Amino acid sequence: MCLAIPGKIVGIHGDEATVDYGAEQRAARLVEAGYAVGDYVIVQAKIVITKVPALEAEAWLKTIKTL
Amino acid sequence: MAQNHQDSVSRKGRVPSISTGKGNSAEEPLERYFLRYAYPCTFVKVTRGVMTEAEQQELEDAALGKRPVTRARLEEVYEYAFKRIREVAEEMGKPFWTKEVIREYYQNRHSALIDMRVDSWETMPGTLRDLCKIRTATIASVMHDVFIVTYAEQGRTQPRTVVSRLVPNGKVGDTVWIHYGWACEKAG
Repeated sequence: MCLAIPGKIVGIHGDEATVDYGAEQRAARLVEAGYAVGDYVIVQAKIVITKVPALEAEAWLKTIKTL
Repeated sequence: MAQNHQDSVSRKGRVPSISTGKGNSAEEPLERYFLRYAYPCTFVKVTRGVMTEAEQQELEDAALGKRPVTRARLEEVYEYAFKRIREVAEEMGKPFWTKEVIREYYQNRHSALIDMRVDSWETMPGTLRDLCKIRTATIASVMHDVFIVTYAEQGRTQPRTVVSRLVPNGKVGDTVWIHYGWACEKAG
């Protein structure tokens, strides 16, 4: 099942974002403009592919803790 | 072993077929074709701690034709997908390890299940459901190893960044099937 976990951008340096997943942080490449610190994102193959609205992300993060 | 017999035996899940990873683009091994659509979801298993990055890389390499993978391994990893694929196969009266069945599930049934909110999709947020759908999109720009694609969703044009490694000859204007952050194959 495609139960992805959003991460939160906690830093941006050039085209590299630091994405926080709670237990760890990972680097990911920003290909498009329009991302900022605090954004929730989905990362795949070390590339930020899309934003997730904050309310959705926070609700989902709460839900998956119970799964 | 004849392919039909092998598929029939594989349906019982006991005789693995090993893809050599070779073969021309016209006769791509079914294991690799399956992974075009299934592999994009694999990163979720790593994020959730049920798969290691090394195991994920093995599957990515298999998807790219760099190494073999057994059908038994794929059926183990993608258990949910094969549950659904078997249902489609039974409906179509074909072995589940056939391209027609795999394509039918991923291109026509997978997104419909998401829209029906079955299983875990019931509680999944809309953005993630949207990512999980398998749909066609148009390549708007090509960069080193990604495409920016666009597709229509609820009356709006949505952009998405997708990895292009499975469709290395994609160009602007091409229509591709996408799943999460990957272009899976050219459409048509």
